[in-house]
Amino acid sequence: MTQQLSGWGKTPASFPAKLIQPTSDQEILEVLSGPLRTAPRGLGRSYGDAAQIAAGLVLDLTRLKPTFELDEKTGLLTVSAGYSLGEILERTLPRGWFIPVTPGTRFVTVGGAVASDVHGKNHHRDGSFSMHLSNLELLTPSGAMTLTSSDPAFAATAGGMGLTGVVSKITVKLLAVETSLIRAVTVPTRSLAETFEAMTRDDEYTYAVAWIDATATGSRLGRGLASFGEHAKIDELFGRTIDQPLAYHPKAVATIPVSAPSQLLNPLTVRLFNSAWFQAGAARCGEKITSLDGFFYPLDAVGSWNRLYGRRGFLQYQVVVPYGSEELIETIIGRLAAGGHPSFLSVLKRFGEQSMGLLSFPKPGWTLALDIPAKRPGLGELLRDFDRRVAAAGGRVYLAKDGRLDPELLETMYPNLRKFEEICHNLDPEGIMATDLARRLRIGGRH
Amino acid sequence: MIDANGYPQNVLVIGGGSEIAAAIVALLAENGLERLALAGPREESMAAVRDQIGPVVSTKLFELDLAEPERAGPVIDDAAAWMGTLDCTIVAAAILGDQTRDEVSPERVAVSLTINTVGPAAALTAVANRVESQGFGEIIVLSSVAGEVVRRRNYLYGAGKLGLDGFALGLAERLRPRASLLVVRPGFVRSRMTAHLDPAPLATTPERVAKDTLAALFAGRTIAWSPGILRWVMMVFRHLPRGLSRRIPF
Repeated sequence: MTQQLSGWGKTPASFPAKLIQPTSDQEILEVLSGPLRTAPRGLGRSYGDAAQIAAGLVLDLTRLKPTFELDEKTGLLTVSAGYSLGEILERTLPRGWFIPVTPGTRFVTVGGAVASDVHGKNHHRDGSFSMHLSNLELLTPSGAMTLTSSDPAFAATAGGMGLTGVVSKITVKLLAVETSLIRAVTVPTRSLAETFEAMTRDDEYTYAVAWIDATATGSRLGRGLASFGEHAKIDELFGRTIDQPLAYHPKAVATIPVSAPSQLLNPLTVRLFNSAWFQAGAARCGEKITSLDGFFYPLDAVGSWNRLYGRRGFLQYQVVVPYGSEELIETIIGRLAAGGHPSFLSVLKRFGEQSMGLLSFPKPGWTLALDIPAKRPGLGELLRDFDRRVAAAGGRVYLAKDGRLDPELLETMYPNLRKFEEICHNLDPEGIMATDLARRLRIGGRH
Repeated sequence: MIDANGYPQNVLVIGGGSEIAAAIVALLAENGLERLALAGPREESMAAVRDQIGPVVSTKLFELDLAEPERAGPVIDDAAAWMGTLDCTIVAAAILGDQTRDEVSPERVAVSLTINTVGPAAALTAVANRVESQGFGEIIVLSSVAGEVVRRRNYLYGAGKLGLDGFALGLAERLRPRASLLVVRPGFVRSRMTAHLDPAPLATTPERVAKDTLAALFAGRTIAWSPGILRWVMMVFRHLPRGLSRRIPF
C-alpha cells in the first residue's frame, strides 16, 4: 500500500495508486505516455491538495537532479527542477549569488516554485519567480519542449499548478550580493491603519513584509511589525562576519515530534504567542544586521512545524485584494478573531506587477496570509463568505495554499482560466496531468 | 473531492428519505455540496428531501429497496458513475417496524433484519470497495443506542442495529487509514419514524444529531454519540446486572 499524501496543512489527504521518484527526463516521459493520471510533487510545501492525485500516479521529483550549472560571470543558473531553493543557496551564495525571488521557506523545489509562480518579500519591486527565468524545459504527454517567456505554454506553466506537464529544468538569472546577511529594519505598528501606512513605504526597500497579530481586536486590530530589508553591503558588516561575508550554514534548531498534542495550538496559546511576539518585536525595533535565514526563513528552523496543528491539520488562507479594498482585509482579520479562529501566523504585504502566468496569483494590491486550524465548526462558512467578497472585489485566493475554494468562483478570480485550459488541452489531450486540486476545482473538466 | 475542512462535493445517501441524513445533507449543502444521490424505496420521501435541500445542489434519485440486498451493488455503481467520485456516503436505511406485531412473525423478523443489517452491510461493502480503489472517502453509518444494549421493548430493531454497528466497526478497521468511517449512535430522535412513540429520556432531534455527526467526522472519530452524554450513560447501563437493567422502564 502506498503512503497517504497531503500538502503542508495535512488536509485534504488521499492515497495515490503509485508513487515513483524519477531521476531522469526519460523516465518521466515514459510515465506521461499514460495511462495513469499523474501529479507532479516536489517537497510537498503547497498547503492543500495541489501535489497529490487519489488513485493516480505521483511523481516525486526531489531526486531529479542531473543538472546544476552556474555561470559565475553572468549569474545565469541552469538547474534541474528537483533541487530545492535551499540546496541552490548552499552552492551559489558562497560565490556571491542569491535567488532572485524566494518564498518564506527554502524547502521548495525549483519545479514547485515555477508551478506556483512563487513570490517573496520583494514582489512589490521584482515580481514573481517566473519573471526571472530565461527559459524552462517542460515534459508533457506530447513530448519535451524548451519554452521562453513569450511562449503560451510558458504562461500556462508559470503558476499552472503542475497541470501543463513536468518542469524538468530552468535557467534563472541570480542576483549578485556582497554578503549573506541582511540589513533589517523593524517598525512596530499599533493598528491596521498604521500597518498599511508603514507598508506603503516599502518602495524604499528591496524586501518588505508586515507580520500581524491577528488575535488583537478592537483598536489594536491589525497591529504588527513591519519589517524591511536589504542585502547587507560588505562595508556594513562588523565583527567576525567580515572574514566570511558570504558564509551560509543553515541549521535546524528543533523538530516537532509526530506525537505533538493536537490541542497545542488553541485560541489561548495562539493569542499568548502573538501577543508575546508583538511585544518582543516592538522592544527590539530599529535597524540591525541579521542572518539570511532569520530574515527569510524563520520557520525553517523548526522542523515539521505543521505537526503543531495535530491531526485535523490546518489551512493557510491567502488572498490578494486590489487597492481600495483595504476594509476587506480588516473584515477578514476581525471576523476570524471574533469567530474563534485565531491565526497563528499572519502576514500582510503589497504586490507589484502581475507576471505573464495565466494562473499566477500575485496582482497589484494587498495580500494577506493567515494560518488557521482546519475542520473547526463555522470556519468553512466564514471562508466561503470571504471568498465571495474577495472575488467581487477583483481579488483572488492563492491556489498553492488552497484546499477549499468553491469551483464556481475560480473563473472570476482567474479570468484567464479558459485560455489556460485550452493550452493544457493542446499539450495533454487525454488529461494525463491531474491533481486532487484540479479535480476539486474542476479545472479542464477534471473530476 | 473532499475539501480541507472535510466537506465533500458529492454525497450518496442509502436510505435517501431519512430525516437524520437530510439534516446532515442540509449542513453539507451550505459548504460546497454539489451532487447528491439519494437511494431508497420511496420516491416521495426522497423527493421531499430533494426539495428541502433546494436547487443549489444537483440531486438525483435512485430506487433501492434493501429488502433485496443484492441490488445495492449495482445501484451504488450507478450513483457513483453519475457523481464521478463517492466522496461521502451516509448509510441511513432502516425500518423501526412495530415490535409487538413483528416479533411473532418469522417473515417480518426476516424482513426487518434484512433491511436493518444485511442490506446496509451489503451496501457498505460495495461502497468500501469503491472508496478503497479511489484512494479517499468518508462513510457515515447511522446506528443507534438501541443496538448498544438490546432491550425487550424494541429488540428486533435493536438486534438489527447491533449487527450493523459491529459490521461497520470492523469495516472501519479494514478501511483505516484509507478512508474514515464513522458510526453514529443517536438516542431517541424525534422524527417521522418515532412520531407515534413516547420520547425516551435524553431525546434529541435530527438537526442535533447532524451537528454531532459532522463534529465527530471532522475530528476523525470512529464513534459518535448524540447527545454526547449517552456515551457515559450507556457505559454504565451496559455493566448493570441484567436482573437490574431489565427493570429500568425505558
